[in-house]
Amino acid sequence: MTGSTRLAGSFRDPSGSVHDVGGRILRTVTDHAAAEYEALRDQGLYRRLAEHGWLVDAAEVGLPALGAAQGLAEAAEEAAPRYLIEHPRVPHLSFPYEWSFPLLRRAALLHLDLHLAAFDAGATLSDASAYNVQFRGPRPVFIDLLSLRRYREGEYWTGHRQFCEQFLNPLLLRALIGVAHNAWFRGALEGIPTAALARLLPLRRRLSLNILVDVVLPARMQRRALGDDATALARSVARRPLPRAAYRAMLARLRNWIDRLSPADTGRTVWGDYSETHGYADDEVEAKRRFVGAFIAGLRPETVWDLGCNTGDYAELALASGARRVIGYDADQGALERAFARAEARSLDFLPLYMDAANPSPDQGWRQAERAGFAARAGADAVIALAFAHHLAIGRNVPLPQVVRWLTGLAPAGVIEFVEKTDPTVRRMLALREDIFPGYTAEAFEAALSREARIVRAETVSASGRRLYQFERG
Amino acid sequence: MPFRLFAAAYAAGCVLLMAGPAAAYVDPGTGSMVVQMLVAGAAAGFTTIGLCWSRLKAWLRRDGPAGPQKPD
Repeated sequence: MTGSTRLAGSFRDPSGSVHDVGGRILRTVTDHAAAEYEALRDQGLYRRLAEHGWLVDAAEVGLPALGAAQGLAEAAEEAAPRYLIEHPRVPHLSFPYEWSFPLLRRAALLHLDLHLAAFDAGATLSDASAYNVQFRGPRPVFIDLLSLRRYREGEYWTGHRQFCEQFLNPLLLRALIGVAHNAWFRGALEGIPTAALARLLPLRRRLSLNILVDVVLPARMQRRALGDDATALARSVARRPLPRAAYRAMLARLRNWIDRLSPADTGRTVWGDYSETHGYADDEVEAKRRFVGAFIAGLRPETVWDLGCNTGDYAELALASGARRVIGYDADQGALERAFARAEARSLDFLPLYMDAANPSPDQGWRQAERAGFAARAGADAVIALAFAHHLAIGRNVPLPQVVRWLTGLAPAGVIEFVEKTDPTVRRMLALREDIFPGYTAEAFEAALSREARIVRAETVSASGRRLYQFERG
Repeated sequence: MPFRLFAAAYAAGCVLLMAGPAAAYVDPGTGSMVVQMLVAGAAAGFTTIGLCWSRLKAWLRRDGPAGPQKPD
């Protein structure tokens, strides 16, 4: 094991670090955190939270591996570990700027539920990073057990600001103002600053008690404290302990509030109703479903990426046809919300994420490596891109051969749908603009696909000439 | 109880908004710490009031008319 095994995003907490060693996820626990770790482990807190599905499983790894970890720690320039813990690998990492509103709300509720349960067992969380929550299908799980430590009587909730910026404020942005958090969060990475949200809130929104306590007052106090002496606040805090009941009440109040939040703009979105309003006749839908179902049943892939997943019709079909899990991507918030509701209601291993395919998540953060981009997290066994390619080729002017190269590069096998210019959808896309796409033809698509992969089979599935292609890379 | 705490925080906050600059420093958590300090202060205030109230009740009960006597 060498220092290069340390995950790029694991550097902030002196309690330990996380390493990917040949596919195994190993966490070191340094002297700094050993006493806290031992106390919570021995009282069974980690085990109880893991049994509940709230905390990732953790197993201590034996001494030989720990010996190797000493070398790992030296190379990673951190203190020698006292313990080495192995976690199961989360199948697909996702970040809060890729979550739709209900995913972020679900993550926030998990964070608070776990915190409340820990609090009742005499523990608390040292931070409130949204990146410590990951999703397995639609189910969130907390992945950083070293964030848990013993509660100290009278202490303040030090993670409150971070919780607000990474969970509450992005949710409020959508719930109160009707703006999705994704683009802002992706740009800022640490969330939406309370001061910025406070400036955006209209007066009538500021009158609520919750808004006053978590947005308006903190923003006001922060601004007021500019240039003041740091030690004065520290002395005041030391003189005025926060009672245990008040700490718990803060968590419980936030939980109840967030549980009631819903998006303000619940009206129609462009693609939210697509599964009911698309231009297919029933028998055409059936032909398309047969094609995709047969592809999945023949391959039985572990992970399928569904680009332009919409509300998850084909993700659900893929799962029913033998796929282990589906990661969906779409840029329509309404469609993503319905997809998540479907995954949750039917317990599907389907995670619908937000992505603008013409501008996927980049490698970013510290050293441009802290949060891996879309391409760096690739690893699907199959990709399906149904009614998708024309949105890149015509909607975003990406040359058709580049669209095909990108799609076929995502997985060794897949199904791509080609939609002719004569199709009503494409006609609508071109209605208000000049047709500058002479190269957008079925022949050009087939030629491009043949250059990148082998066409296994193709079938026309609609009267308007929509055609499905199954490909396989050499 | 949570409602009382935050009602007190609300009132204290309104007073503070009108008062002079708070003794504090600038870090990303300053605003949050000050608000929690208000909550802590309000909670302490309620505890004190609660204590005084129960003492007053006990004192009144001692000096007031005797309750119905239990049968032997």
